[in-house]
Amino acid sequence: MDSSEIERQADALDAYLQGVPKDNLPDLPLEEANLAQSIRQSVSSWIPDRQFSNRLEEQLKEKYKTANRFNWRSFLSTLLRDLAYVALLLLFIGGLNWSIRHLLPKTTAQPASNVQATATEIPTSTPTPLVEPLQPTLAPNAVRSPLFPNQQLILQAEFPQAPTSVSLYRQMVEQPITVETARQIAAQLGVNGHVYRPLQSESGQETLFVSDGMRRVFFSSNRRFFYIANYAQQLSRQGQPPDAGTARQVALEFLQNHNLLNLPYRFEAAVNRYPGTVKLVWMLDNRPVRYPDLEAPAVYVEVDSDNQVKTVEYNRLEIEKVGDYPIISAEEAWQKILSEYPDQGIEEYSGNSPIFSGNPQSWQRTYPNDTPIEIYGNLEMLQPAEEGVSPLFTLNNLTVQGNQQNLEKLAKSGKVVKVLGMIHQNEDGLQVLEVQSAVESDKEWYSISGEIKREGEQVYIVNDNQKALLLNPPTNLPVGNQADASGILQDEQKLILDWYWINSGYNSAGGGGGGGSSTPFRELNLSGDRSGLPTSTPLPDLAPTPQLGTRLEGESGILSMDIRQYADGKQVREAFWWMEPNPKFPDGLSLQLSGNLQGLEAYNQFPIRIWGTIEDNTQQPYRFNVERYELTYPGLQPQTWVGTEQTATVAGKQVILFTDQAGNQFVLKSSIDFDPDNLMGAPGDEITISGFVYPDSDFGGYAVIREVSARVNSAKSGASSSQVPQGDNPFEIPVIPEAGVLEGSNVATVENIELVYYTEDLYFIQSQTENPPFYIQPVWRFSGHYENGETFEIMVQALTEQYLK
Amino acid sequence: MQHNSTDNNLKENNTLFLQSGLPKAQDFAELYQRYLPQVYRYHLARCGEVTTAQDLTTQTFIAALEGLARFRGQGSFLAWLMGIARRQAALHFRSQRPTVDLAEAELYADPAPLPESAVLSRLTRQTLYQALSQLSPDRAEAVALCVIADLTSREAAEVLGKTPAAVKMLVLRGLRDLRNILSSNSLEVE
Repeated sequence: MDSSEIERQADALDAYLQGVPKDNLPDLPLEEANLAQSIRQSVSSWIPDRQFSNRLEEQLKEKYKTANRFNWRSFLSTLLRDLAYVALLLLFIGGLNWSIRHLLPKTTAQPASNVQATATEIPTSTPTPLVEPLQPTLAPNAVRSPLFPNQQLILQAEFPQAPTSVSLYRQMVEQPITVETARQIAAQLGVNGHVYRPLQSESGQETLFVSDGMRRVFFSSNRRFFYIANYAQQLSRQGQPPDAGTARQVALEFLQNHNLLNLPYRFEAAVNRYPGTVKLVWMLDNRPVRYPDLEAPAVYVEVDSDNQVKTVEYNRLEIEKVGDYPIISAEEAWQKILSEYPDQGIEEYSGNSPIFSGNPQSWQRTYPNDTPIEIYGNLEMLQPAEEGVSPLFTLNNLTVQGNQQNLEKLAKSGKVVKVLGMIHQNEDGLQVLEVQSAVESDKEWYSISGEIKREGEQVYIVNDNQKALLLNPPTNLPVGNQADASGILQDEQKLILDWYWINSGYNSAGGGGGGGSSTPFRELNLSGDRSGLPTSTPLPDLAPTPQLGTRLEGESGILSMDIRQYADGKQVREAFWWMEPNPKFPDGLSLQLSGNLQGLEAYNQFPIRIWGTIEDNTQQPYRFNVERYELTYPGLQPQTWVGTEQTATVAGKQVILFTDQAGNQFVLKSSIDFDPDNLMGAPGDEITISGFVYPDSDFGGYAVIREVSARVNSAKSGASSSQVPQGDNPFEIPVIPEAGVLEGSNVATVENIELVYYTEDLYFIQSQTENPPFYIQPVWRFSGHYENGETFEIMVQALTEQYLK
Repeated sequence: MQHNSTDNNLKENNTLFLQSGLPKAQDFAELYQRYLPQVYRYHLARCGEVTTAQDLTTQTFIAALEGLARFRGQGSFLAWLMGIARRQAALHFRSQRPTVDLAEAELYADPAPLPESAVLSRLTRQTLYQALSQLSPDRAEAVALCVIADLTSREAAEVLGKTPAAVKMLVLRGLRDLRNILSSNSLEVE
């Protein structure tokens, strides 16, 4: 099967997924299509629980009120300007994200009432020259990679000169946790308790707990555990966390005392972990081992404000040496990133904006000893994994003793439970809940986000919609700060919250980032024998880059002008030109123009012919020096039409027919190229379209409108997001806010280059024994930050070509 | 099964905002109702667990609402939203490893025993989740977005930072891999 056949299959499958009938798709791969249909039928039953969706909707409404204060108006004005045209503009972008931005027209609301199908005069006066010289948008010293078309890369690190060969290892497969192993490791941690299983495990793998009442250790395999020093207070975090030095000292002491440092390690910043958390990354041959997605096989030790270990998340590596192999240099790896035709074996991960603001703190409800109390909560039940041991029950993390009648049934119900009883402190200092009676309650969990406010003796969580009174609030809540509180509503009318957990300083919008564009790592070919390996073929979606100096002699394409508005007030005007795919340029061509651009601004969105030379092909859009240009269709004028849209089959193809008020019918070019059934608004809505009809256009006997803008006319709001050609400025040039407005950042600075070991996190691998060996292979890691502070890393497989499949 | 192009949603969004003047709370509520199933299914397919999928869905919509001002209409709203969903999922796996989740999730007991039909549904979900987990990350993402969350290849391309052609190829290859995995494991999707 050649690449074009695969492409046709991929296109057909994509069309099928969009609803095109099978019979119309001769290239459709039936088995994949049937599988996709089966999956869709299956997932159609995945419907969010109504209670959950209603609760979330309420939560969003509350949040909306807050957002509305700051953003709605500016958001709307932006949206009204830009959003309505995105679908149309997407038709023209040829798949390049950069051009989405450049093609967005600036839009001005216009009354719809007087718009008629009229031709618009082309300006007769001398066109205004570009007021600023065209400037490249690339930052100084920046380069681009075809892999990351939206990013500029700046290298601010030296290439390491060594090594030229390294050892290669493989991970030993993890074993399911056994009762005996769990007991042994727990004892190593000083936890001498019974072994339990969760009531219900969906993961399909054995999970065990060891609990001595106070401490708890959770195991997911023979090499991974999570230790909690005080289960009853695990959610409580207050006070000033220790400084990094102290935390490291406490963490190391704990790990050494419990014989948990079985490999060399290095400290790394524990990004997005609670303050006071120490991260130790395992090292092999003095090089850190890393997982995908900015992660690493590591040990995380959280040290609390009393300099005590609070939690330990542990992941032990078991390895075996495979052999020694040659590797490419760091500079060669960098060139692979920049390669015009990037091979597989490069992965990029980014993210990690802060999820905490300031010093996050949280409070977990405590109760007085030896006093009759009424507690609501969810009952947790752990089943014994050993003979002769009773189940372990906890309520709100408190160990439950006493009358255990009905507890199993209540735990399995998942409902809120009301318990009457008394809390005692045992000889180990552990608070236990002595139950007198336990019954199912009709109360439900409730949560609220807002500002902590104090009014006299009362403390509230307040947002624009609600004001919840906290029963027995902690005395040290940071009044004025934002917080989330959850618990049981004692009074639904007065919103009296019997809180269970309050946390402040967590930023739910933080974190994330996710991967950028990348190519998968290649499998290893450790024999070095390349006979029998398939010859690599170029990626089918990459067209050859035009050679430097390639000339265009009157090729026709669409001109698009931008004004780039910088925060300091400076404006830079830019001219772009794009051409649809043709035999010479099968992926089309996008250029940024310079040179003789006199008068060009008057022809924004017009088809023009250009003569000149490609003078820079190292980045997209390619830079093109214009020697001269002329209108493709002299005398062509933009027009506006008012009418309605409908879908129709013309020349055997589904398209959108536009009928103007005079009854003339046109085919919309967007529906030929891209989306044949995407009507504007509802069927029959009155639409205003601006664009061109080229003299030679014809589709099945209809003239074709190349739309530049369109809108649904709305008498109700009078709102519009379109522009209508007016007078001497047929299509206004869009103003693109540059600094301080665009989301995120696209300049990535590489600050560190190092050779690391890379391997998969086996936690995410199903059926480890059935998969290929999990090698720990050398990888060149280029890491740094975006302008906005987010971290990123690009990893390039370092084994020489001979040892990669 | 006929699936509407999600690009329609984009135009519907436009109409929604255009006809209503300043967007009201119910406008966002309508967007929420419209896209909730897609976001939820995406998360469920990627994490395989209802409780976690609900948490991630919650985080996705809250982050979307808080970041709404940063959506400048430079692409599909759904693609923008699913980009947030993808980041939230990445954050979940990165900073709250399941060991931590499980420890804290103990606070909230599992729901009532599932009826038979729900058990079957869960088996299917587990099957899909396990099979997806065995794909290369890019292919799994492409299948989750285009087949399960019902994005167009163009929208998925925005989310993944790839060309639509590359996404189509990833979907084809991802489904091919899935077919092999499911057949070799003697697992049925339906």
